Amino acid sequence: MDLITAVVILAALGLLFGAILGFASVKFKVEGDPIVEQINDVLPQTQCGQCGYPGCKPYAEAIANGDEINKCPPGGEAGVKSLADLLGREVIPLDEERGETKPLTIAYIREDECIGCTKCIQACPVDAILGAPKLMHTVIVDECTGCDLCVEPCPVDCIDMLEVPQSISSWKWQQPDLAINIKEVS
Amino acid sequence: MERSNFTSEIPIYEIPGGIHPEEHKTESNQTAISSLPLAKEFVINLKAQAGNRSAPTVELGQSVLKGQVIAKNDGVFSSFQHAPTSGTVTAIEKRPIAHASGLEDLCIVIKSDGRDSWVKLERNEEYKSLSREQILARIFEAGIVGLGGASFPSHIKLQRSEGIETLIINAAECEPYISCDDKLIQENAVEILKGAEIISHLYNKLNIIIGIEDNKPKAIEAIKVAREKLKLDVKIGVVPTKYPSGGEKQLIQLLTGKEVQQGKLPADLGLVMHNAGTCFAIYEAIIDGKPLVDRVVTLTGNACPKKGNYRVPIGTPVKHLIDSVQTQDYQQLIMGGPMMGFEIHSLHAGIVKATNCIIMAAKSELSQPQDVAPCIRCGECMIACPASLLPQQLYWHAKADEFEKAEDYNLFDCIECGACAYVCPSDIPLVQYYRYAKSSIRNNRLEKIKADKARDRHEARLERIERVKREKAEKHRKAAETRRKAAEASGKNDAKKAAVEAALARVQAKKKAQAEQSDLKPKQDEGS
Repeated sequence: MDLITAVVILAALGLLFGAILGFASVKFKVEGDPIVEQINDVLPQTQCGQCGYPGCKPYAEAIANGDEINKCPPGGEAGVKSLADLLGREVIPLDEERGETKPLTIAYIREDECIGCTKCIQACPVDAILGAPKLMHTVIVDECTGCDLCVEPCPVDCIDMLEVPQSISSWKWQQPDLAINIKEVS
Repeated sequence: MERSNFTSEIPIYEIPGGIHPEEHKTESNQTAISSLPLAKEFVINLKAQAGNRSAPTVELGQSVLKGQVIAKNDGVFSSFQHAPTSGTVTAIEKRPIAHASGLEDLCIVIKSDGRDSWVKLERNEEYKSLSREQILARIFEAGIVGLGGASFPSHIKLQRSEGIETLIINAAECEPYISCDDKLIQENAVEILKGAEIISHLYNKLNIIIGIEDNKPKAIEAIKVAREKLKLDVKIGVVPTKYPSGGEKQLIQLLTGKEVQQGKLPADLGLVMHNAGTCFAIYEAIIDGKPLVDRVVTLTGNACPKKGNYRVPIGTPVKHLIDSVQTQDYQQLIMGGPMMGFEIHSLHAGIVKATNCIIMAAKSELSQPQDVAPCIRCGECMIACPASLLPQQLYWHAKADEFEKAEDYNLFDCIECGACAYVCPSDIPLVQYYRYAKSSIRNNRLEKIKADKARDRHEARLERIERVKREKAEKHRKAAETRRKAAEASGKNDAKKAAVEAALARVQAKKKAQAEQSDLKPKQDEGS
């Protein structure tokens, strides 16, 4: 009798917990791979493809599947460091074959020379170029990530990548060298 | 320096840390506030306040009168700017500004006509008949920002009305060399208290406390006389002279014993604090109808022959000031005090609403950057820190760019007073490391926002391309079906065959045309 009771209770508990787990797996279903999202969050979202993948998210997926973390020049050394921290891997130097870390540049179209071919519009990964066939195109400066992808397709070479001038809002203090000190009271 | 023997009317509490640097205030606070000759050109920086850059409302070549609006707010978190004198707008362009970076920013340049004639001002003694919103709007439109140094727009600070019980007037002026608030109180205590009364009226009466250091006996005397004259209930809280007792959180702690917690505002403790100069500006704006077009500036330092306090129009170039006092060889030019000020990079930059002092330092007056020795873990910085932080830990982490760890040690509670660097026996420029770390973290946050936006735009683009592809396939499928049905309906085999052939030919022609035009087509299709 005791044996049967025990089996029944255990079976009932098993069913109950199974139902709870089943319900939880439906209710709290995780869309996509959370580690990919976390890696993608660290990547600079330039969408430049210098890593060899068509955008930041595909590279994030590749990293999650074991690819090296040093293939992102826009992210720079700091990017490699944060990825290493996130994934518990070794900090390694940037892969030089992928290009070097440059200061942020923004695309500017020399508008007089633009022939309206729309090739750059198709190349832009973040839809930051505005224009229509046979009409002048222009870059929405605030949206440009400086990925360089529009430069190559331009048949008349009218796109310049210009460095962003420093402004008060983007300025930061340098590692200190100037100190203003005063004498001790006697 | 002379100390007041006036005993504080409210109990004074202790703050941790603090330092006692040489005060150097007597050099500049012996003479009355005076004026300098008018500059020929004024450079008004449109990004001088905390918040958004003001938007110009004047055109090139336009003549303006003193006090006329030349730039208005961009959003609520911004401020108005007014012409500091009458003249002509000669440029609206990027000019060097009074900022630690030495960068350029958008300025309005006004060439003075020498007449200094005002716009028509509306005096209003009967401000009590105005509603709270009307008074706030006037303060906003008068371009008033906190004159203690942070230039925070005052109308925003005054916005929150629930739960405020006490107004603290900050007259501590704890930084060495600076004496502009001291002199302003000595000469205009009545107006300052009237300004405080206006603020009090905004909240239907507040308790008013004025917090002042005991090294300003004359100012304390002036407040006593003024409050008797106005019959205003003002408590004078005299705090011992110690730097940085004038920091907002520090003064609150000294006067009330309460600490403003991390992420909280003084308003959460029922307090609102305004600088004495700001109270004066509010008085002028509401009673006299005068916008904020000038302020008292301390010109001092051993290389300044005419040390003193001067009423200077906003936008006056630094060069004009140092020429007017006929300075001898100065070695360093500091805007603000010796602890928190910065070296002026361009003499052509105009002074801003936050400029309380310009130090023309002679050779070896202010000690120069020393050779930095290694940290010996003596802990002096920790004892000096008024925010009870661990400056050594912050230093290691900031130096190693470990910003997250620095944040864990409450980097953002640092008020950048520089007491730690002042006491450091190894001459480590500690506060500069914290500024570096703080500004780097702020920059990284901005970059993160930008990256998130780029990711959203990229994903939206991929989704759109996918959707267009799908819609096109669907359209083709439907067209094919229609044709098939039409052929079936016609019933004749020959006709059907012919129709199929014709359709195939059309499809092929279309595909060819598509291949030529590649991706352009989808965009047009999308709209249809």
